[in-house]
Amino acid sequence: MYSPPSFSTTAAPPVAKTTGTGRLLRRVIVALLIVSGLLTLAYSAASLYIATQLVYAPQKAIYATPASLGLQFRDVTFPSRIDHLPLRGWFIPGVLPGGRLTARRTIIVVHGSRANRADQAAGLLDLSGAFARQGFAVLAFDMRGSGESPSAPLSLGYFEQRDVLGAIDFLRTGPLPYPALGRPRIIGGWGVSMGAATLLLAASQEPAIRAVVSDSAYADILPILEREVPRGGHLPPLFTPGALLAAQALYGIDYYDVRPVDVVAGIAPRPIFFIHGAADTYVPPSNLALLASAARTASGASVQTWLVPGANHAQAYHTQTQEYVARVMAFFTGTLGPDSGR
Amino acid sequence: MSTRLSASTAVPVQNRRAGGLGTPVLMGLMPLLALLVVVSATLLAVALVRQLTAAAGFFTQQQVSLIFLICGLALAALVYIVALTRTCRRIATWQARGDRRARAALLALLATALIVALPVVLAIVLPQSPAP
Repeated sequence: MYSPPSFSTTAAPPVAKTTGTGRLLRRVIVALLIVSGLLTLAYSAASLYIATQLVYAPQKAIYATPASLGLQFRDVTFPSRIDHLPLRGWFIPGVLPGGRLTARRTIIVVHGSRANRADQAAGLLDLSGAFARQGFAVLAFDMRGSGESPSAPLSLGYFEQRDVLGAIDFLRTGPLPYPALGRPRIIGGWGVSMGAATLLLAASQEPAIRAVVSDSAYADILPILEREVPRGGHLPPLFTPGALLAAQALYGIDYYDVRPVDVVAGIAPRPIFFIHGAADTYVPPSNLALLASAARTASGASVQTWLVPGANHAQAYHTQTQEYVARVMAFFTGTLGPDSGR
Repeated sequence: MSTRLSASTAVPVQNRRAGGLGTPVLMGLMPLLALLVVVSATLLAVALVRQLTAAAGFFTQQQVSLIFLICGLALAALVYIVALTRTCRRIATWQARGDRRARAALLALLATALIVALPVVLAIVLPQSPAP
């Protein structure tokens, strides 16, 4: 017959007491674990979704070609540096007085985000035409994910700088159209908005870019993303860091590294002309001051600035077209030198 | 026979009460460790897949990466739940025996809950300076 040992009756009360409070504690902690797990899971999923939206920009069709301006041009395709994406563009030879064509001084034209090489809003095609008529050849191309170039995530300069570097490689060693004109002897760059920031990032690594015109560039993309991500998604700001990390996990884009302000001093002694709309509500004009003062920290820096009154983001060309063209041409003529045609 | 059974159960309980706290702490951190392993493996796999599918174009690359990440998230959630369930069962057993390891495991589990919530907490408290 079973007889319980005596020690079990004496040990019972403390065990029962511990189990009662312990069970409650366990339930509270498990509830915490479930809530924190669900919160983090939901946060991760939302961040992933925002990241996919952040990098997506529908590719706009090219609405016109330089032929509409009465200019000669050739379609070109060249690879980006490092990842060799085939980029599409136009090579427009410069027109000298008397109608002779030239490619001695070539300007790379870099468009902004969600645009292409013929961007009407920023006046890219018209400006390319103005460059050509002033005797500057133009290489206008679609960066990755834009126009007729292959689809790619919008990285706001992080990957796009490879496209500008690819354009330099193409001008120096690629199969240029108009072989009779020879290769460019000197190369300059003009960029607007994201294109300007990308050009600054590329020029800091590539000394072949001898002069830079930067129109409406941002000094650092992070403050703009911290404003735009919550605004675009109608979400609280806490999702921005998650979305940026998700973009890094999904696409390898480090938006925290898109800071032209950190590298712009490396462009010196090559001259830079910063242009910005005084009424820019997207990239505030303070970005011009930040970039210009950072560029001036370098010894031998040559920095010009022009704050265009009344111009909103990337609208300086449209706001003061004649003065814009005159100032930019004067800058490039002064820095790249004249083309005598010989 | 009955006396022998009771004695054999009682002796190990006494031993466990006097045992180290390494095992229960590890047990409490198990859901977190499992989560970290799965998330790390997922991120590595996505990085690898992104390289492998780079030539196929952006949309293919994005879809494959997303599928890997979503599967990774689902797997992480599953592993987290399984590890949590196992840990809770073990803690319940220890609690029923009055084993002091239960308290250590519960504290480790609490730490796990706080660490799992850390990304969201950090995102809330992280200073941001949006452009005007």
